[in-house]
Amino acid sequence: MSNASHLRIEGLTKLYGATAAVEDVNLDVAQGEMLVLLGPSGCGKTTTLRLVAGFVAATRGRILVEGKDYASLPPYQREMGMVFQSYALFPHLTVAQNVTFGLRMRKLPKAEIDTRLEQTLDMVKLTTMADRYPRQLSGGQQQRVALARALAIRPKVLLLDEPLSNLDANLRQSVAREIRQLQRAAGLTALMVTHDQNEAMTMADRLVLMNEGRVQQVGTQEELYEQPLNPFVARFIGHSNLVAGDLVEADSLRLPGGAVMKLARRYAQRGPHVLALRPERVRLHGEGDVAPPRATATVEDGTYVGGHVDYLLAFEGGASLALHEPTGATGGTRRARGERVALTWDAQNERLFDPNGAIVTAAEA
Amino acid sequence: MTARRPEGLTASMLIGPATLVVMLSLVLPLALLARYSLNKYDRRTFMIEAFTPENYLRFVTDPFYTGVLWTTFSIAIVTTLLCLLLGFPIAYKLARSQSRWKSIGVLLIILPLFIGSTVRALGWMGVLGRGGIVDALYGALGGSGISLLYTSFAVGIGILSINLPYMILTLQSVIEGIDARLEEAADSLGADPTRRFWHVVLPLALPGIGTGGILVFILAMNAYATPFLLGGARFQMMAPMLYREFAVNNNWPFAAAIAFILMLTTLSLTAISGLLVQRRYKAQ
Repeated sequence: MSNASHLRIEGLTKLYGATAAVEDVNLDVAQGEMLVLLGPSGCGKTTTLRLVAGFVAATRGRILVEGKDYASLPPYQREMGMVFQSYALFPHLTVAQNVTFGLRMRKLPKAEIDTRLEQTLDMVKLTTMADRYPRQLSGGQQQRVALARALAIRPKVLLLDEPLSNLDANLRQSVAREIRQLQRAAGLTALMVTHDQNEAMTMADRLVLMNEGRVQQVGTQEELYEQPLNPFVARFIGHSNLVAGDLVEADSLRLPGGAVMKLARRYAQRGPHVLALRPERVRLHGEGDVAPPRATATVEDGTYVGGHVDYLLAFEGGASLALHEPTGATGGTRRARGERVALTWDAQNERLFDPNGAIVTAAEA
Repeated sequence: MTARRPEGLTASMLIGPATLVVMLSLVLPLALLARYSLNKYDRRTFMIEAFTPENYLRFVTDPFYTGVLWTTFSIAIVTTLLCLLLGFPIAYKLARSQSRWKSIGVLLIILPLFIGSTVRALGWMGVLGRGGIVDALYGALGGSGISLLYTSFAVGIGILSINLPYMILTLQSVIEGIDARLEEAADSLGADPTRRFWHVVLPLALPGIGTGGILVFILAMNAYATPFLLGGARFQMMAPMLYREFAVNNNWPFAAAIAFILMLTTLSLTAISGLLVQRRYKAQ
């Protein structure tokens, strides 16, 4: 691993009894990078964040910031700025008192506190709200106070727990951009948790997809979408059809009902495998329009949703496949139910996994 | 069919009976008591119709009676403060507990409330009296017999044990209302446990501390069985003294005056502390 990583998590594990909420998480976050933890509820992303913040004691593992291990320190000695999902603003304190709370706990000189308060409020554009109480603010303003409070202590790492989930949908984008801009301007290393894929895609420099307490894949948006490392990633990021079948020849996948797909690549393995295909990366043709097709199927259902038609196709013998056909190419016509169709796709859009979920690489192109 | 009645009339008709019951059962006896307190007392005929402040003057000018009021007030204040000091940590633990033993803990707090204060005072007599548990332990350690019974200590302990559950339950519900995330926020901002308590938990629990304190203070000011049984003949508090004037001396006018003095003292102290808490809370 590179020495450039500012926050480094090694073998982080949290056991509750015998069950692992977080298991062997290893992450490297560069200075100024925004790493977003993404996953379904209960996947361990929030626990990971709380472990880093120190609210939960780790069973094993190290949390290194600038080379120093924080794993055994209490949260009040960790110097990590946390933004809570519910904001957790002190209701009995004004905006100014909330923002300066961490500074007062550090017993900074009054002049220093005043300058930082001014700077921070200016940064989040809340200078006129300094004397208000949290209950007198809108949700978006409360969010900014929470952010300002965390930024004011000039934390080593900024932790964000679902920071947008309590906001109105139309406010989310602007707040997301604002958080991003502030974090970049301050050059802060940040770790954010969300269950919302769009949010994660918008905010992240890199993403960490978690499931059942384990990291499934770490990478950029493109890497996770284009090169999922296992079926879970393929299905969770965007959508993927997971087609189970038997690899009977180097390029033939036999589906349970007997239909056979001609794969774009050739593989050395044989036996049961799972093929991941994204609905928008499979092309649809009339039967006989393309030779040879990779597979043929019947239109089961088609839903016109504007930009594309959302088809459900059935293979001979029962297996099914979701497919998006752009309406631009067809002039908006919808294929009739029962129509026979042919399918093609390109080699780079084909991801094959073995029964254990490991990616299978092609033997030859 | 009848015409539609005005809404105000319907409302007053609905509230009417309840108001009447409250008037009859609460306000009327109080008014009667107030009237009695202005009457004169005579050894043979007991109560003579009059309109004189002499009962109140007698209380205020006699150091014995003001002394009893002062004792009552001191015991009430000390037990209230002790209730707070002992009750807060327990209430906090209970409120923040996520263990399955929590409900058992709450039950243990509530359980003593099922037993009347008289019975519990009797229990304390067994603990503190001559030949009681404390005495026996002290003797076993080589001391010569001690009796803690009939002291202000005994009364204090008795009232404390009776009032503590009320304080704990009040505080627990208030602390449960304080978002645990606020404490985590304070934590992450660099507040160690002590400062977290002073800067976040305490200010937010203040209304509960006020409510619990007032509740426990009123109970202590009006305690009857505990000072009667654990304080004995020489340790005087207001409620037992009131009873003696009323039932033993048959001096209803003076008893009525004592009742009003006790009530007004308690009410005004409660109002003052309530205002203080409110002002501090607003100022924060």
